[in-house]
Amino acid sequence: MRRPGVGAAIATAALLALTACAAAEPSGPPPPRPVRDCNLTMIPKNTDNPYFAAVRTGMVDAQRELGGDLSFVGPAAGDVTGQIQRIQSGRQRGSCVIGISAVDSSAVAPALDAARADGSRVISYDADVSDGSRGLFVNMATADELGRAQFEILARAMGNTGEFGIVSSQSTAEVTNGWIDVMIAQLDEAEYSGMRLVRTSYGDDDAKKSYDAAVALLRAHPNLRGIMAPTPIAMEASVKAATDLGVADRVVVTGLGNPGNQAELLKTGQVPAYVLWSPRDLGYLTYYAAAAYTAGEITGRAGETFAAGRLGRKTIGPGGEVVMGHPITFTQDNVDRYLHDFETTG
Amino acid sequence: MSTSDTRTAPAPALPESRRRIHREAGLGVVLVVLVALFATLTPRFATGDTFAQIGTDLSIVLIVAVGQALVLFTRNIDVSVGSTVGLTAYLAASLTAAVPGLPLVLTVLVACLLGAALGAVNGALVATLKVPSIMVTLGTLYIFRGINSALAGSSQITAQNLPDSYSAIATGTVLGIPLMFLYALAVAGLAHLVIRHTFTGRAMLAVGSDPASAERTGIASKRLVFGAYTVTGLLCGLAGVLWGARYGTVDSSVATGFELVVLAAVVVGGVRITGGVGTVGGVVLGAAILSVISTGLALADVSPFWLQAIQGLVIILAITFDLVLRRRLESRGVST
Repeated sequence: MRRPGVGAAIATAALLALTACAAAEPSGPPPPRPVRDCNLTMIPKNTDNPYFAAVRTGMVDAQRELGGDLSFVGPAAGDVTGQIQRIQSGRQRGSCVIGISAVDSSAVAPALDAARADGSRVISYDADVSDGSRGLFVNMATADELGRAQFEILARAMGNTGEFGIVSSQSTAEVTNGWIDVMIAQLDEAEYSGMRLVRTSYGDDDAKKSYDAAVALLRAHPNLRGIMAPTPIAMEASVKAATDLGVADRVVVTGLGNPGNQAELLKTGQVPAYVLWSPRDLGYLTYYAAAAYTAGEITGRAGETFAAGRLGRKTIGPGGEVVMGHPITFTQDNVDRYLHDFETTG
Repeated sequence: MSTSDTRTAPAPALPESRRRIHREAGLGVVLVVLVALFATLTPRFATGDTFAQIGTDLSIVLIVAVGQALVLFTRNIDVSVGSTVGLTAYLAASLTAAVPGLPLVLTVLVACLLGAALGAVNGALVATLKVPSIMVTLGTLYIFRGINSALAGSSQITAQNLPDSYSAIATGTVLGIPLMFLYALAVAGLAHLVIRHTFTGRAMLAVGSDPASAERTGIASKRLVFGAYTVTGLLCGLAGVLWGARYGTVDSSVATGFELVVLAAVVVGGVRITGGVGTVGGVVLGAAILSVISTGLALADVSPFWLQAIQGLVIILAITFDLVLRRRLESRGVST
């Protein structure tokens, strides 16, 4: 039995869906607006984190030089729902630029797309979102360099041999996952063939979960020689877990640390060295990139350049990525020189 | 013989001693089965270290769970315990970081008093407003957490800011038994005595079992409800200090979602969510069962992606097993 109505209905539905999609697509780039007349919504992963407080300091530095109205708002603890709410409120305020360090790279994408459709420009900084949902990504250093820098500290401290585990942040965090991929690739090099990764676990940047994950790792793998913690909370928790279990003398902990409140970890020798960049410069550069973007000076195409104040001219690389510089390896000898980069205001 | 247990109030709140033993026996068997199961799964499980870890692990949960049980006995609930632990953890740690010479006893005392004050707010609201306690404490869950966020901002107190004596609260042992576990057992023991052997304790169960007739018999139910919340707050304060001591980093998100962990321990421990039924011993076993499950699974090196789901499954299995076992024992008790 033929049912001609069905085909027609599907066609109509498809057509409706298509027009709906078309309506949601931005009809071209929104008109340029100088940053002085703009409000910018900058969303950190979490506000209970001194790292993002230092990022904010850098943004305020740039705001003093360029003008504009900055609202630096985010969820207290890093949850994706809280981030989506901030994206929506930025959109409702008609922010020229919404900047985000994404807790979950794909979950925030629909909200960002909606904001773009409403005329906001979207950039990501610190932690990228899915391709296509942002025009620019301000990256502190390449994933390759950051992954290697952290891995090298661990490998050297372990004498290139033995078992190690990873205690990461969220399993959905694209940036940390990128570093971990680089670390795993390093293991294929002949130099590191004596090293073995036993498990990657996730502490969600929560002190208790990270501590529990580190304890589980240490207890399940009695021969563990190292813990890679590519996020400051996990590093702090792993150091505490190793100390509490009385294995601190044979298990080395390193990864990503924050000299702003973790300088002591280096000075007491609990961590031989750790990696980071200047969060203050990252905030500063992000604000400059946002300003150039909203003013129409740059569109996110590779090869475009823009002035970034005290950091000089920056060039946009492939994929709309602006790389700030190289990772810094902090040790007890150099950490005090960098404290300026971790100042927090208000 | 068991027909007498539903007639007069508030008598029904007093479980027959035989039935009470059965209830806890079921949970005890579940605990032993779980320990045996994990011991065969992974040889590392059956070591003194593991049991010390389980003891430490369940302590904070147990301390708060005892308070939560008291509240549930009175046919109320406190879902703000996570926020109360978080706020007191932050205040206690800030106080210690700011005044390094402060004796620990004083820190603990201040934290307990602050917690009790927060609990008293809950208690006063629940006892005076005729609003379900879940709504009141949902409100204070956000209020207490909000105050915590406002006070803490982006600051973190890390183990480096705290004196070594502070973390020693969590790491110390007596004859190999973790200090934290001893604190928790002391709290549970005291609560057990009050519930079993004082009028106040039995009146709490009576209020939850049948509020109307409890009122008629002259029990001051409002005062008991207020008391249960205040004690819960106080215990949250103690738990807050222990949290900071154990996990080292204290920020504005400490103990987020902790209320569910506590509720799980209490409910697995056989405390009825609709009031009037339960024992402190059951809560101890409930907390122990949950801790054995999470520690055992972690030692078995289960993938972190599966850990939670498997944990939930084991909890359901454990409760079902307990229920079946208990019904069997009860029916045998009736027939003989």
